Amino acid sequence: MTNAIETFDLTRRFGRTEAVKDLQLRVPAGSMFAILGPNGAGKTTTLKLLMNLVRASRGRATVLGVDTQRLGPKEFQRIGYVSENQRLPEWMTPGQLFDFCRPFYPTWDDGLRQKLESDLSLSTRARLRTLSRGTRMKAALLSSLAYRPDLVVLDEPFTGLDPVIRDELIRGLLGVSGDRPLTVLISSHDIDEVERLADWIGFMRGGRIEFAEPVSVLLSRFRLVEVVSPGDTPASMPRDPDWLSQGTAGRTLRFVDTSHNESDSPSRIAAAFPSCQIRTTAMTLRDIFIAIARDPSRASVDAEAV
Amino acid sequence: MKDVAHLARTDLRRFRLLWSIWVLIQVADAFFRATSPALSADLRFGSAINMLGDVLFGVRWLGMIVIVPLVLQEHPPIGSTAFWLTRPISWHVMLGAKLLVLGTMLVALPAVSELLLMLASRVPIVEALPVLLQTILFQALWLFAIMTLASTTSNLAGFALAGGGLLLSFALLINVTVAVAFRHLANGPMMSAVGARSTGSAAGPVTSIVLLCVAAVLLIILQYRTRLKRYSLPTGLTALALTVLFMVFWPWESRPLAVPAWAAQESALQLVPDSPIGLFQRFDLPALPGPGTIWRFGSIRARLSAIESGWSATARLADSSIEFSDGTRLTTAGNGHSGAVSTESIPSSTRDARLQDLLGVDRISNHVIDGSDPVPAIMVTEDQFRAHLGRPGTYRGRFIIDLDEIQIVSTIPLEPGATFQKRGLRIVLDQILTQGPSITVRLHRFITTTMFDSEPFAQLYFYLRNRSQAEAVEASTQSAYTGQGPIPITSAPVGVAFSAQPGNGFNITAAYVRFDPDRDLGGLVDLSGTWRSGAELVIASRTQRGSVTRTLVIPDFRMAEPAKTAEERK
Repeated sequence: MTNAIETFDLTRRFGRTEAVKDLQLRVPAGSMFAILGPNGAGKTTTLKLLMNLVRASRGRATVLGVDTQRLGPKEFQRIGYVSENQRLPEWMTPGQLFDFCRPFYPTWDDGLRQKLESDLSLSTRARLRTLSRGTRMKAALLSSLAYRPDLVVLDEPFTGLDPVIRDELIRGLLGVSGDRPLTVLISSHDIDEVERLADWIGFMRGGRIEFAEPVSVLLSRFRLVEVVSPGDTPASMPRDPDWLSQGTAGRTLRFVDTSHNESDSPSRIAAAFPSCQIRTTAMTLRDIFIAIARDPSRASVDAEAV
Repeated sequence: MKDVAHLARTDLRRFRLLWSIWVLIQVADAFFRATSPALSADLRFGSAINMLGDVLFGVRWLGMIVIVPLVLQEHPPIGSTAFWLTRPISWHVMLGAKLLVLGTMLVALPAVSELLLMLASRVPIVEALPVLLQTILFQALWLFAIMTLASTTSNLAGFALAGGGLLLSFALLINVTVAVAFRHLANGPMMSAVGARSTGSAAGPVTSIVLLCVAAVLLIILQYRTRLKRYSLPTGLTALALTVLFMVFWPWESRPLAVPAWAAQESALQLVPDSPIGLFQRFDLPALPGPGTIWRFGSIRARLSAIESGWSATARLADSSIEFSDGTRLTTAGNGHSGAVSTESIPSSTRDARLQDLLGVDRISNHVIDGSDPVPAIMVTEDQFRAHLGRPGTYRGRFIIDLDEIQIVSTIPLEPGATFQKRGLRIVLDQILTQGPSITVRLHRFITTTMFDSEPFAQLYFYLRNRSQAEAVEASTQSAYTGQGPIPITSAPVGVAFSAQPGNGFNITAAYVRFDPDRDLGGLVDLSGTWRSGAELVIASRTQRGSVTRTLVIPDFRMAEPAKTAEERK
C-alpha cells in the first residue's frame, strides 16, 4: 500500500514551544485517517504543515508524493482542504464560491456539485457571512469535493455543529469517497463521528503521534478487563506496560489491556490474577481515547503498525 | 492569463462599490481641475472651491491608501488562514491579478483621466506624453509603496498600525537627525553651496523612481513567493538602502546651462563698484545654538559692465576676503562656511532703457523701484567689524554671475479669446475688465511641466503696448488660482511674473493681470479708450541661462555702518 502522506522527523517550533516534534506519520492512500488528540496536541499545526501553510522548522513531509514545500497549483487540483480557521470569501454566496473555484479545477464536476448541494441541503443564494457555521462548513466542504480530489484534509470540521449537520457532512464525504479512491485525513475531537468515518486512527499528544493503526486493529487490541477478587479487598494491579489501570470499585479492579489478543491474553491475565473472576469487554473508540488520555505515560504502543 | 482575468474580475465584483466611488472621484477631480479656475472667477465661491479642491486631493490619497490594502488583503500573501493558499492558484497568478486590478484603477485610470484633460485643453500630444509618463511613474511608485505595507500585513488594522509606526519612526529619525546636525553645527550664518547654474537631467529622478519601484516589487514578489516576512523585508530593505545610496551618489546637477559666446569673454560682465565703501548690516541668528556670535553682512553697490541687450544678470557671492596693511585677512570661508549668500541682486540700473529697447517703445510705466540692489560682499563677526571699522584694505570677491535671457515670446490682441500657445503653455484671454483708469485681464493658463523638461520653465511677464503711441505699461499684479494649489507668483527684478514648479504635471489656472497706470513710476501713461483700442498684450519670458565667474577687486575698501532706518533711530 502506498502512502498519500508521509512525514519524516517533521518539527515545527513557535518560539521555544515545539508544536510538532519529530513527527513520523504515514497515511495510506485510500484510507480515512483520523488524527485524534487533546487540545494543543499539534493536530492543526500538523495539517498546516502538510498543506504548506506553515513551514517546518526541521524535517520534511510529502503529500501525494510531492514535498510539501513544493506543493503548487497542480497538486492542489487534487487536494481539498477544509478548516474551521479558514477565512472564506464571506461576501460570496455558496453559488458564487463554487463559480469562483470551478475554473481552477479541470476535473470540476457540476453534476457532483448539484448532487452534493442536494445531499447537504445547501442553499446557494444567501451570502456566506449570513449563514450559520454549519452551512458555511458545508459550502467549504462542497467546494473541496466537487472536483473529485484524491486527498481531502479536514481540520476539526465538526466542531460546534449540530448532529444533523455532522451527519450530512459525513454522508457527503462518504458519498464522494464511494466513487473512487479517496484519502481523507481528518483531525477531530468528535470521536463518535470519527468512528463512523475513519478506518485508520492516529493518536497525537505533545506534538507526537503516539500510535497510528487501522481502527479494526485498534478495537481488537484494546479490552477493558474487570477482575473481581474473592476476598474483601480488590486485587492489586501488577506492573505491566500493556495494562492501563482504571481504578477499583469495591472488590473489582479495572484496567485496559492495550495489546489484547485472544490466543494468549486470557491465560496471561489469569496467571496474573489467580483465583479471581475475570471479565473482558470490547471497548468503543471513545473509551479507548479516554483511557489513553488519562494515562499519558503508558499509551505509546504498537506504532510500528503504521 | 485566464486565471489572472478570473481573479481580477472577482476583485472588481467584490469591490464594485469602492471602484464606482474611485471612478467618480477621478471624474470629479478632472472636472474640478478643468472648471475650478473658471468658477473661481466669482470670488464668492473662491474659498468653497479651494476647500473642495483640498477635499478632493485628500479623498484621492485616502482612496489609494484604503483601496490597496483592501484589495490585496482580500487574498493576503501572509498568514495561514487565507482561502486561496490551498487552492490551485499560484502566487504569480494572484500577484498578477492584483497588479492588473490595482494598476488599472490606480495608475492607468488617473493617467487616462490626465491625458483626456490635456487633450481637451488642447495640449499638443508631444507635450502631453511626458506628463502622462510622469503621472504613471509617480502613481506606480505610490502604488508599490503602499503594496509593500499591505502585502506584509494581514488586515487593515495591521496595515494602519504598520503605516502609523513607519511614519512615526520617520518623523523621529528626522527629528534626531536635525537635533544631531544642530548640535554639531558650527557657529555662524548658514550659506548655501555655490556653483554655476546647472540643470539635472531626468535620468536621475527616473532611475531613482524605477529603483524604488524595483525594491518595492522585489519585496512584494518575495512576500507572495515565500509568504515569509523574514525573507521579504530584509531583501526589500536592502534594495531600498541600495537605492538611497544610488540617490546619494548620483550627480544630480550634472549639466551646466549654456553660456552665450559674448558672456564667455573675460571682458564681459565685469563687476564695477560704485564706491569703495561696504555697508555692514547686523545679522542676528536667534534660532541657532552656540555661543551667539553676532555677524555683520557686508554689501557693496556695483554695476555690471558689458551686458548685452535682452539679457539680465544676478550676482551670487562665492567667496571673498579683505586684506589689511597689517597682514590681517578676513575671509568668508574663514568663518567655517564654504558657501555664498543666496540673496540675489541686479547690479544694473539700466533696466528701463533695456525694457524700452526690448518692447520698442519710448516710454514705459513700470512698478519696480528703480536702482540696483546692493551686492552681497562678505560676512564678518561683530568683533572683526569693530576692529577694522574704517580701516582701508583690499577687498577680493569671487562672484557667480547668473544670466537670464529676456525675450518677447508673443504679442496677442487685447480681446477675449485671443490665444498664445508655445509648447506646453497656452494662455487664453477670457475677459478684459476696465476698472477706472486700470485694465484687468482675466486669463486661463494651461501649463505642462515635467521632470523630463530639458530647461527650467521660463518666467512670464505681461505688458500692454500701444505701438502708435510708443508706450507700454507693465503688469502691476497677478493673482492666480489653481485646483492643485497656488502657482508661485514671483516678484522678479524685471516686474511681476509667473512661473511653474518643475515636474508639476499639467495644471490649469486662472489669473487676473492688472495694468495700473496710477502706480506709475516711470511716466504717466493714459489708458483711455483710444489708447486701449490700439493696445496689444505683450508676453515676455525670462529664461535661465548659464553662469560665469568674475572676480571683483576693490583696492581701498572700507567697512562702514549703514545709515539707521527711522525705526532704528526711534
